[in-house]
Amino acid sequence: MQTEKASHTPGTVTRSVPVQGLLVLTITVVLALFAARDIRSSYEREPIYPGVGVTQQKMLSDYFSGLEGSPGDTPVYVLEGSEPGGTYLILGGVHATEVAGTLASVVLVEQATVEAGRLFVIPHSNESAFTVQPAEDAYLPRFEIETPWGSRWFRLGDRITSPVHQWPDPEAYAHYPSGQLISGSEARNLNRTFPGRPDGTLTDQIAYAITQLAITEDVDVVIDMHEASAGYPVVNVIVTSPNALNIAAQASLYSSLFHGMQIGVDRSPDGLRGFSHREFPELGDTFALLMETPNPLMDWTRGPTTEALLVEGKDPFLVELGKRGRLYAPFGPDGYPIDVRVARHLTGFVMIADAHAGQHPDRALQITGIPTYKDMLDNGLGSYLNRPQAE
Amino acid sequence: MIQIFYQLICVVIVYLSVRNLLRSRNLLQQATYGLVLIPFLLRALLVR
Repeated sequence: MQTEKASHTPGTVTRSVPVQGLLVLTITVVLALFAARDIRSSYEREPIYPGVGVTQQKMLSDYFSGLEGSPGDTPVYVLEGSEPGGTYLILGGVHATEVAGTLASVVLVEQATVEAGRLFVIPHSNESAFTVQPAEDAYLPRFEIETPWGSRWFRLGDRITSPVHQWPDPEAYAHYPSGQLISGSEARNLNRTFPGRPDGTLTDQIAYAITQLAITEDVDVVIDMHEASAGYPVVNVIVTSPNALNIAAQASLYSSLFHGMQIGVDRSPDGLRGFSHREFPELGDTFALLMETPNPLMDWTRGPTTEALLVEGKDPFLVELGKRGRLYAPFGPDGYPIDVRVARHLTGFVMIADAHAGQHPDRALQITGIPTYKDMLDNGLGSYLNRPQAE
Repeated sequence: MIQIFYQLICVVIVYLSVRNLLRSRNLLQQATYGLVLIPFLLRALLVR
């Protein structure tokens, strides 16, 4: 490697300018600038148009000031009824790949009205995870939902907090306060870090803020809306804390009887810490339930990663796997469109609220405006997304 | 503390990559050092 050359003047040596190297360096910086601009577009929040039922809009940092101005801060929508009742907390987007939970939360914010009790809704619980996509799967950063008047766009993110905001991962993640050790990358998984802590990582702090919300607002029921691959055993199921087994079983029965929607019940394992359904009951009388719908985009054996796969949910490989009994959710040619997945979450929520009201009438949540399972399938998700108001 | 340690490592990697990129005369080597730099540049541009 020669960086110096003799000049024509005897006795002097001059350094040549590395033109090619500077050119490559310039190209590198330009490429990084374009990539950064692309990634920055994921920092833009999709617009949500709250309906008449929203009585207050807060930020998660209102419950833990340490989040203020951080990439973990996110809107919290409050729907308060005129009559007293129970308090519910809906978590969407704890995992930003599992978009049906976020979209179900958005439908609640835009359509629901609470008659008795209070409902807190966080559509993007891990805001940081919505600013990045998993590199290995070529996920699209945005997708669109067609409505009768046009389309609405939403972000698709990663399962875990962005490495831009929390890095590096430890060799092993020690859950607080149990000390349970799990894989290091789980340090960025919001649903492994509850109840969180104020002096921890960004993910710990988000979990702490949500826990503080539950304590401050005296939340009775936490419902965490997730999605899973059809090849994963925990799918089409309500995972429940032991204290809410009766509520979950009753909700499962109601879903089947009244809506023809089959959903199983699974008990939260005592030995696995950090999950919402495991940790919120530790606060006292709080019931915590988590619902999973099948999202074909999250499966391993499937076709290309496209917007159609995410929204329409059809895939011939999964149909074939279903025929061979390799899946945990029935999978036909119609697949699992986003309308079905959002309808499952909303129906599950309403059935849980009904079951909880039957067992704890003094802490009931009375809510209207939520489309039924059949309505959502007949009219489509887009019919329940508000149109932007004229500026 | 560990963050500062990792940031120091990043500074060293960026310094060595830029230095080697400018010293090298081989396009393949230069492109390789450029690729090494991109994640560090991205992180510097994206952190808020």
